[in-house]
Amino acid sequence: MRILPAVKILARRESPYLPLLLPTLRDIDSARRELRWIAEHFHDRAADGLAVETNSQQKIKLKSSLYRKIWKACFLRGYKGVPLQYILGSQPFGDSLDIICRPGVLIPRWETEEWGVKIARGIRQYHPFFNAEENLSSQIIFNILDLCTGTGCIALLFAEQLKTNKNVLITGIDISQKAFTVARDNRKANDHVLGTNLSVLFKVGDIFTRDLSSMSNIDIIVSNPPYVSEENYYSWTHTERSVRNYEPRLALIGGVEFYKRIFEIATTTNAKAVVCEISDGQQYRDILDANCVDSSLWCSGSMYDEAGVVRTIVSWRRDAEDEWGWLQNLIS
Amino acid sequence: MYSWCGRSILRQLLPAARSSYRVPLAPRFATKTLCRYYSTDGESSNYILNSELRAKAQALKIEYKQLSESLVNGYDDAKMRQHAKLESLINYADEYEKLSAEVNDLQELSTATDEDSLQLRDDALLEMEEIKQQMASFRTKIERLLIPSHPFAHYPCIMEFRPGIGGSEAAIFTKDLLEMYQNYCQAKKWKYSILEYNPSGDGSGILEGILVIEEPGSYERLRFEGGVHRVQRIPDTETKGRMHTSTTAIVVMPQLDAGDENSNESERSFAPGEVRVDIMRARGAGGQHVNTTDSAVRLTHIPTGIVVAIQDARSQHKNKAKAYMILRGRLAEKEYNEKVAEERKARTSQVTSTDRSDKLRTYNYPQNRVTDHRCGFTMHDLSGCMDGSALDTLLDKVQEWATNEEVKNLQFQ
Ligand SMILES: C[S@@+](CC[C@H](N)C(=O)[O-])C[C@H]1O[C@@H](n2cnc3c(N)ncnc32)[C@H](O)[C@@H]1O
Repeated sequence: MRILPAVKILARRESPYLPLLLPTLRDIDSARRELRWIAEHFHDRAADGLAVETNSQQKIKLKSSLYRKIWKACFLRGYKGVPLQYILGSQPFGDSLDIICRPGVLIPRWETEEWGVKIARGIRQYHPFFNAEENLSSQIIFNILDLCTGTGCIALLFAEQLKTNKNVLITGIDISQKAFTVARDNRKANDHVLGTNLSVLFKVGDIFTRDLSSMSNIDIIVSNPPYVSEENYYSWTHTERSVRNYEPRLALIGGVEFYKRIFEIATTTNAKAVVCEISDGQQYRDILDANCVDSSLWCSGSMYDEAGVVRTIVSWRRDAEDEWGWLQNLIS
Repeated sequence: MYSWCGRSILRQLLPAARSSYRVPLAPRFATKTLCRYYSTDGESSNYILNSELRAKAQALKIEYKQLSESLVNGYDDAKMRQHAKLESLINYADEYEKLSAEVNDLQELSTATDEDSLQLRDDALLEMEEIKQQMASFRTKIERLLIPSHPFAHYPCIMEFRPGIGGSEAAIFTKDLLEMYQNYCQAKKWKYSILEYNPSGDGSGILEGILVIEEPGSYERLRFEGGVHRVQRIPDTETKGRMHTSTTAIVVMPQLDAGDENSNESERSFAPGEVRVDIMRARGAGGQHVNTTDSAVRLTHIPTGIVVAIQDARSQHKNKAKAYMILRGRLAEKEYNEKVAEERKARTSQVTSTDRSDKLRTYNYPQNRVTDHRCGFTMHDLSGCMDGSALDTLLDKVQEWATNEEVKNLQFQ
């Protein structure tokens, strides 16, 4: 897609930074919006310094360094195609989370946020554990397992949505040491979602090899495993260049084998429900065709995202209808 | 006693006894303008309480007595509050009647024409002026208690700003107005935030702005600001020194789930299928394949066709929550206005109409003045108005006018 010369001229007239953004963002509205986010981000960080600095010489220095930073950010974003979240260092998530994003760890997507909020709010509203009248004895814990947790965004989202006086334990596992570090930092940066009765733990581990049998009473497994096929990964109509260039391969390339393994883990950990993000409707059928889900034990369905794409596979044990039957209302 | 529903849109909201909120009245300004009013307009009658209201106040004495008796038999929270409200009403009404009798007495003296009574006459006139001011204050108090409150009176509010006619000048004025209300909030120490800010091409103005004011009751204070505002000034870019006229449209609506955009209460208040959600479609297959920042959300309310688009936040989830909040406010406003209009149509009484396309105020820069066309009030302090410090004077006048309209339209059962 060519950028119209008129758009370029317009952008230059408006702000010297705008044309920098155009190669990646293409249309002037998106460029304008991102420029504002970038400018606000660096302004906010420099605001304290600018406010206390009285020496005008120093003030000018601070200002010019601020403009340099904005210029550099626009350059990286527009000319290099670096994801905005890596430049600004974070992505807002859920109602109140600010998820730290660093190169080497996948950026949380809006689709993930959307289904995560839906499922978590459903649990809060319909699962008997959160609605039982009597105060459940302190022994009973609601256990959530987040496989392939990455930044830890799903684990923390569930913490945010399920923070009550009930006991909740959320465990996030990821193979990548980098992801583990970011997840831990995210827990610290968002510790307002933790509580005396709610903990979030992160562990390093390969879900294919790690022995998880010590966890035996999981209520729900949530996961956004790598699901981009090798073929789609290299097809530019499927996968954005910026994704390929800047986000980790390890977090992206995967397929049915992950779902097979997730349902195996569900069996060994006694999980009552499983919700996983998937690539599309085709992948949903592939998962069922590969017999990853034993339909004599599980009810399953798929859920669309707001863009109209099949985005999640939702399953619950047939013998846990009382607790999880409400999921039926979410699937199509 | 009264039901609020649909007597008139022009409604003085009373600081309901049940809420801790009080309509912020600035007495300093009130008296100042009052004086000016008197000096320019000797015929002022703003101390006179509408005769029907006067009769009503007297009639309520019976209800008060009955209530007092029933309270002897047992305590009831609601009755107690009603009792307290009636008590102050009756006190005010009695005070008012007393003063009114005094004025009548003085009236006789003041019309005396013989030489001997001239000094007496001047004294009487002075005295009357003072009493009338007292009466005016009682009148306001009584009206506040008698006129039913607006259903959303105690809510925080949302203000939307959009340029009307006048091209880039209109965009600049829209930005000025947004800033004026921000300044006003700051002066009042009200919490506010900018929910949407869409700068115009050259950045000098805005194409859209949404201001969210968290102060409970701000809806009541600002709801008459909704409508078309007009500016007359000579733009910086104008070489021939010609004056331009441009406009901004403001919509004021209640913020129904107060202060908490995180609660999805707004979203829950819609039936499934009632709202169509459109999002910016990312290129490609979505999910892990794409990491663009497109977060714009557009909601279409299918039954009414109302569209709300929000793109300000980096998070789609937040944009959606905000859009639902605005949609709900707009619908509440629309429903209420329609109900009022319908009930008005059903009555034959002559009512001043507030056509929304009418300009309600003019900001004239060369003459340093602001004129509100509804109450006919002119203030020669444009800068004070724009920096928020003198806006209260204007709002008081508008509110006074609205109360008058309200009384005119009030029907008694
Ligand atoms: C698509 S990312 C999802 C991250 C995060 N849950 C989210 O939704 O943003 C997949 C994650 O799975 C991790 N991963 C890949 N293979 C894994 C394995 N065998 N065991 C555990 N984690 C793995 C990657 O490191 C990556 O962080």
